[in-house]
Amino acid sequence: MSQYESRTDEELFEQLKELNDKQAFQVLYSRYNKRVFSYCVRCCGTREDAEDVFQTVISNIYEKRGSFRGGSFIAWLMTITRNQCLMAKRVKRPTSDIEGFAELIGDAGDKTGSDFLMREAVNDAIAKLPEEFREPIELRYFDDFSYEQIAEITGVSLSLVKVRLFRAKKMLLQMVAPYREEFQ
Amino acid sequence: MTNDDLLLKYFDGTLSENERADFDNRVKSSPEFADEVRSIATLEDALAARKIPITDDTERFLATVGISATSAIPPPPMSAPTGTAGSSSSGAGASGILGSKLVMGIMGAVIGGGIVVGSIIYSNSNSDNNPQPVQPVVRQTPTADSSTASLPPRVETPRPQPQVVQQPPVATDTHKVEISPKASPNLKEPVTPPAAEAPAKLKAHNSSDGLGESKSQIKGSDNYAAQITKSNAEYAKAVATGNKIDQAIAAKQLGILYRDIDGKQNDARSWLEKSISLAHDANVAEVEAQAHGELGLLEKKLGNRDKAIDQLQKCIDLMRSGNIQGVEKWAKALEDLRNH
Repeated sequence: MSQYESRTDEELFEQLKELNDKQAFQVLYSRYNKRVFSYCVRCCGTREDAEDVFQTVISNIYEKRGSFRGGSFIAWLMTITRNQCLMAKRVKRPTSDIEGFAELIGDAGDKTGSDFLMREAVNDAIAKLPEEFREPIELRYFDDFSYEQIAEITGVSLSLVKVRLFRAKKMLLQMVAPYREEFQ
Repeated sequence: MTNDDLLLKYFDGTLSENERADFDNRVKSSPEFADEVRSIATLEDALAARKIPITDDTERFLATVGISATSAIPPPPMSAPTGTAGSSSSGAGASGILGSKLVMGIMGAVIGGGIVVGSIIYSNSNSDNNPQPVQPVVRQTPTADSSTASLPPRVETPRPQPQVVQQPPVATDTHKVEISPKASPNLKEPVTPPAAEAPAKLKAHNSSDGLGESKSQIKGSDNYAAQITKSNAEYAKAVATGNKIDQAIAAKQLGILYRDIDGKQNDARSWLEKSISLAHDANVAEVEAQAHGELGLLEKKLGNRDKAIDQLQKCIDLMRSGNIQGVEKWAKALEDLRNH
């Protein structure tokens, strides 16, 4: 197993794609299942919808392997995930519910005091961001994607990702201004 | 360089030496700038702290899906050399398919192989030394030909009412209408229509006395005009936002609508082909398959039997390979076409 875990995503995917290598799939799955599921929950708004989308996405890793044209595996995977989420959203039109997401996934954090108020303020502010600004924030800070990966996933240039992230942070600061003292 | 330019580069870690000096100067000389730097830094910390833990339930769900998906991967191709990448990825969808009955067996193999995800499926409630795997609840999706089913059974966690995503109903031939030539939009090529395009002026087709329109036909005509306007607007909006999925869906809907309008079948074909192309680019098999199916119905309507069969077959193949629900109606349409 260790020889698999030391391989890059792209090497593992090649194994899966060409040799139907189940272990390669399992290593890839263990690397990214939580990130993909979290993304689905955030996008879909409900756990039920997220589970449906997630299962479709996971099925598509193998089924759509032929559409992988090189580059970053995780960017390709997140593009599939994003498209499936958009399809689901088109039907149900949910709003991004970060607060609900926390409860769904199990946010065991303290629900009193200034930390809680600050978290709530940030959550509310993120949910109110326009999608083109909210998405890179979520991908960067919740899912740990690099700028380059976010650019690939969202289909915009690297420089635009950086600008959007910066502008998103400025917007967030404006929105949480009443709670500014809680931050500092 | 503006403050924002400097801040962006600072938090990006890409300040040059000169820019760094400029940045430091501004921090010292401007309390407002220093305050902004502090605020963004604090916000970044707060954002980074917002990662949300995954519960045990979620862990179990993820583990079960992982096992189920693993079980659906066919065995290695017989001719493929081991240890090296082959050149073909075909044939995966047609062989080595494991149904839900074998999932538990695969679980055992996975666990025996020491796969990380496998260990999670054991219930913590078992107090003996022989833990039993949690039985996944599976949703069997019927397929006409099980030998071509290559997706894992869907895993369901208990829910009051499972959500089923359904596509809107397909427009039918109920209302025969034609577009007034003067108002007819020229849609030989599917181009971005104006969002505020005027409703197409529709006339009833073959009214019984040749003079007027029956109430039902007028109602149908109005519906078509309204739906075309709506779909045009949706397409234009999708183009404006760069959303290829919504473009594909709107194009498909326009193809369906124009298909039922006399003299607009070429436009219908163009829209449906556009939808297929967009859906393919966006990697959305559901829409791509449906557009093939609708195009098949159009070709059937035009008497192009072979083309109709080809399109319907593509629709069915895509739906089966993607385990997409609703393949039965397309299979029936194909069967009817072949039998007549």
